[in-house]
Amino acid sequence: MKLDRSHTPWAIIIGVITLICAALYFGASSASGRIPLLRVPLPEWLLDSSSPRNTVGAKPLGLFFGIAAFAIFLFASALGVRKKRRLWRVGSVQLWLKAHVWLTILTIPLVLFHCGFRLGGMHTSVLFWLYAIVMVSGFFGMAMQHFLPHLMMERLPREWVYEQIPNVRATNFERALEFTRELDGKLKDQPAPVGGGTATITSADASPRIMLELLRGDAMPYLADSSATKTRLAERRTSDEVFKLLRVNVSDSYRPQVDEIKTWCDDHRLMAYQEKLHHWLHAWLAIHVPISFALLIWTVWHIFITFTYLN
Amino acid sequence: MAAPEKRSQKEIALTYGGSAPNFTNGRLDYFRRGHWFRRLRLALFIVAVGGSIGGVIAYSFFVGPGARERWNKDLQSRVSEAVKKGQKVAPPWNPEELFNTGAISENHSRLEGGCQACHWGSNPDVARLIGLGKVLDKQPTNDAGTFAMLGSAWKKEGTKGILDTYAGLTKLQQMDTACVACHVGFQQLPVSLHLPQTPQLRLAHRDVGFPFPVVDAGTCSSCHKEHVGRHRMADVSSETCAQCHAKTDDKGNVAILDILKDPHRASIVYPGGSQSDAGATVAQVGEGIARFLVWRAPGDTKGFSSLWNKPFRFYGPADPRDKNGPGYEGHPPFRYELPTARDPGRVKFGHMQHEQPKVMNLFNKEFEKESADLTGLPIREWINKDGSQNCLYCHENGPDGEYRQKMSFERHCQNCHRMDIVVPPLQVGNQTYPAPTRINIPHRDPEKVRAFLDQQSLLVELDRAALNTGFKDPTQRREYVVAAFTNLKNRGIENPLELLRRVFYTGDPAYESWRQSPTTNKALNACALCHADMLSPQTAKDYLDIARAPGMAPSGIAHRWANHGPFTHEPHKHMTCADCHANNEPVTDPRNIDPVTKKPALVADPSQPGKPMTYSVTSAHDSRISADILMPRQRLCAECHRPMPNEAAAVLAAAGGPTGAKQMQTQSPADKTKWQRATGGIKYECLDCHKFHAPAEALPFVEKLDKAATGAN
Repeated sequence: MKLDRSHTPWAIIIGVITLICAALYFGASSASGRIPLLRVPLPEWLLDSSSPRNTVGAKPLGLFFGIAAFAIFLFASALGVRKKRRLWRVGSVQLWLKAHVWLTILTIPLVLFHCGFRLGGMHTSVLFWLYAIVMVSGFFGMAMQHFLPHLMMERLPREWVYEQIPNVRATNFERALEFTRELDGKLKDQPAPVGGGTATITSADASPRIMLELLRGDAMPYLADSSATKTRLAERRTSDEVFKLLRVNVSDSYRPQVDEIKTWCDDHRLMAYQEKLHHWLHAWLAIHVPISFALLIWTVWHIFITFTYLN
Repeated sequence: MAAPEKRSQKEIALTYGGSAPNFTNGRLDYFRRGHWFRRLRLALFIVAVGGSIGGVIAYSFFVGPGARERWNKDLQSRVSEAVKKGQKVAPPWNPEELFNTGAISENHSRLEGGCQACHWGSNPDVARLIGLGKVLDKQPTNDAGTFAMLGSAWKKEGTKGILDTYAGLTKLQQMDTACVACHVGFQQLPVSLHLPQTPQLRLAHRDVGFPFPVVDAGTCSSCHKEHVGRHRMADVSSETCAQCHAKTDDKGNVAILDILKDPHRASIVYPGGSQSDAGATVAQVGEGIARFLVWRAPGDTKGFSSLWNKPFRFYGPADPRDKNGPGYEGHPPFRYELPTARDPGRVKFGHMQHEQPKVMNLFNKEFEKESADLTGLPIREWINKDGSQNCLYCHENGPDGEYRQKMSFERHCQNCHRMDIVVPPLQVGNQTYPAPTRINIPHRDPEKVRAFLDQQSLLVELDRAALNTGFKDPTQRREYVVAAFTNLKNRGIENPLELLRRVFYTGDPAYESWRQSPTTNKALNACALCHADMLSPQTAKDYLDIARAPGMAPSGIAHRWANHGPFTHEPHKHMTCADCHANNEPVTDPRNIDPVTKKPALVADPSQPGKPMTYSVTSAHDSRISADILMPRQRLCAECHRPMPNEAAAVLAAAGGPTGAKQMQTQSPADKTKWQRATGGIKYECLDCHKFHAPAEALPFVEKLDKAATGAN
């Protein structure tokens, strides 16, 4: 998801809510019980400090922040369901994603105001660090989603279905193998060279031999390597030069085949690059999603334990 | 190989894969089979969710509150069993550390590895608990708090009683017990006493009555916060004090502020009785320092005008924009601001008289003339270069520079108010005695002075004076002594009683050109010049017994006026003395900038208009009598010693004040004072002046407090 101007209203709304929460929090924390600068007194019930452990989160305002953060957690986790059920008429997925991003950003002040900027004990520390991991991975993912699609658009003239890349690679390799066998056969069918004195006269076309040399020496090992880092064909410019030279040295009838081999190699290189970008684009989800659910479980436990034992 | 032919997208898709097992082989449902990356994500998800559920279950089972409850029950039964059998209980593994809500402070860092040192729970440190029980022997029994319960249980049933009582306490009370069991042993604190008058109490003497406001302020953890970081435990903040002291009732009045106004909330004890004189006095207490004290009877607010009746104030109005608002929030005035308060000092002195130009000029003249004779006197400036009087001539720094020192007659008064019996130059027969003889009367207690003025002593002094003048011949010296006595007789000093009367009461009128005082025109200043109110009998005609010196009451000069806080002059060196002690600026009401007025305490007519209130109770420049209190009002102190308001920077900038750190550093002392008054922000926490707990010296009073609080005789 690209962060564009359509996000501005979200940013403004979340900013305003954050300011209101901060005013309430610092007002409740001050001795006068008034909102700083505005000097507006807060109602007594918000300032009640009769919680047994006197923690910020147990006071009415802290509890409110905690409940709001938990509600957002639940909503954020529902995004996965919404993506699976695309036909549900509950707002577009795009809207859900924006709400997911901005409401979870709102949880940062809510969580901090709930915990009073303190980690607390082991239980709450675990909770906090889970939350921190989720948020950091989320921000990382957001950055990736913002920049990488544009990069892919610019640098990948062709794209493949990510999951199918190994198959496409294998297909190309098989074709190259088949072509190699075909060239081998042609070489065997050619007449043997006639020799006399110091000269050797041959009437056969050298193109199959030259192409076989390239295929066996460079192209086949290159296509067999999924990381696409070995052999000189890994470098685009070198590869272009090699195939340009090959095209000059083979007869006209072999030039389309040279072009096809070049396409296989180019595709192979692009697929490797696409895989790399794809991993950057989606790998954070491997952290974000599981830890989010872990966070949800610990939060539910936190609520249970708080209301069961500490009251 | 044939040239690649054009294929449809579906044909291309069908070519995906190949003969390998994972290839599509022409099937387009390839997406249904998981890619390794998807499988990895799924695996991580399962691990995270499964791990979390497992973690939660493990936490609940091994560590959580449920587990604690089980352990506590188990421990309790083990402890009970062990107590019954008289066995030792092996310390269990300490699960509490898993509940540690934060790092332990530096103060308690040695306890870091042993949570049970403080968190006894159901397994108390029996030895310490018994130790506490012994200390609690002195705990006031009227207190219904934790420690009174433990104390009485200890008294009644010993170890069993205190253990049973402990088991019945709440978790917080148990924790407080652990705190006090440790701290009481070292510090001997009377627990749960809230004694804001601690410095006075520390110095209390059984014969001196002090008001002792005693408040049970809850638990240790009400104020002291632990597990908030590895740094030193923070001092109790003003906000903590404000939890009680800033609470308001339905009418907006402060509920618990000035304890003296609310006797129902506190046990206020006057060892001298509830009808103690509510005036000012000076108490010469244990440490040898005379402290100025004013006390009021419980609930007595007499002398405080309605404007001043809001207990805590002078940080300014609650809302300056609200002209009809409730007024002030802050700190009450100092007690010496009570209109009835007077400086109990008995030495007659007026600052104003001593600042008159003629006095200062006279002094300079006398000083020039006589300083050579007064060996040992340091050369000090009586007048500043700008013509004002130098306060520090008399009010000298101590060695530490923090406190002003006591006045000394020899150093500060003698230059002008000399106490000499002078015999002028005499002509006896052919012999001339060219120099006057001075017999310096010692500035000591009356009995010593009386002894010094014995006739034999005078003979010796006169003889010694003649010898010093150069008369070696005893006959000549005897003649001189006779002549000198004749001179005294001619001046009316005909007998020893008259001499004593003149020295103590009336002084000696100027004789010929001889006068000792530049202002009183007398040859000899009597003690009564300064000590009239201290002498007994008070008049010369009543002094008839030559065998006895007149009585002299203590001077009553206070060494310390500010008793609550550690006030010293050292941090105030950038200010002038007059900034605080002679500040005639009118006090204004910050809500409307109107001057605040006060009515003279001794004027009964309430219709009389009040006089503008000034920042000093009485300006030293205007003070004519020693009863004047020349101290600054709390309001003046609070101009600097208040929280810096957020708008301080704007106020500074608007007033052209310093805006950067460099400018702050380079400003003159006067500017520094000015801006500090404008912005505040100098030490203002409650604990900067007030102490909460009573010191060890309070223990002897606990019993007395107990009786008075319960009304027992």
